[in-house]
Amino acid sequence: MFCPQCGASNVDNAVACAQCGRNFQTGATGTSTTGAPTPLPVTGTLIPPGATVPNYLAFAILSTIFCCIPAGIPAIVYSSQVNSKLMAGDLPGAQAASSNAKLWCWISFGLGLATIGVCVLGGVLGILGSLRH
Amino acid sequence: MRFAMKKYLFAGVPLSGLAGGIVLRVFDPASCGIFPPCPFHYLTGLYCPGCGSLRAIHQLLHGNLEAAWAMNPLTVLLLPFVGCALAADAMVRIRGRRLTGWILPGFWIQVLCGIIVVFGVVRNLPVYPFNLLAPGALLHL
Repeated sequence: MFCPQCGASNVDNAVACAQCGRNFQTGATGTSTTGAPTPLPVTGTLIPPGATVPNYLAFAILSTIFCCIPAGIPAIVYSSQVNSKLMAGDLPGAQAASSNAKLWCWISFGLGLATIGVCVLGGVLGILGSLRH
Repeated sequence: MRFAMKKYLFAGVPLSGLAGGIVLRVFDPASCGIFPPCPFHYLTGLYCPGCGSLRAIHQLLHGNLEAAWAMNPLTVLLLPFVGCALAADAMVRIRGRRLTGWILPGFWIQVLCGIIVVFGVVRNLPVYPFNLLAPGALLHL
């Protein structure tokens, strides 16, 4: 899930944002361990919105080239949408595209792996079959 | 807990990349059967845009740029680019955010996507000069 405050990517069942500390249950911004709300620590430059939205471009290209082409293409297209939407200032759109890019990367990776598994299995069965005759 | 596990996972990516590099340097995918076949080529008999990339990387690891280019020119061109993209991803993981101003316009990613698709189609055409793009064809001129 993405933090509604700073846009950082968090694990889905996170209680609070790992980056800015926003509490996802109460919606409180930046809670400390004592429970009292503390101001956000501002160190140096402010993090621009969307700076943490991953576009999975490397993963998308690698899974297209090394796995199976048809599912890798939507991954690259969604990856490009992440960047276009970030530049257009559409943070929710970029986050949605980021999730889709990740999904299609894994679909591509999984399909490629499954097909390779079938190929290897077929090869082994073929060798076994030829040994029998 | 889950964050600690994720850190190990991300350390595993460069390590497995290194291990893959060593295996690819030692064994030649062109002559050695330990590498899995390309699923797309196995199912359809056609070349995908990535066909020959393992052989190309093997040749690159031995310094044979010409042989690598003959196996898969797209892989040779894309490797530095993928390296940059991986470095940018690692930057987001480690720093928590990417470098400001380091956003490649989406248009260029779509151009790249188009190049990959066109390359995949064109290298299957049995017509000169496109047939030279099939893996290894340039070595048998």
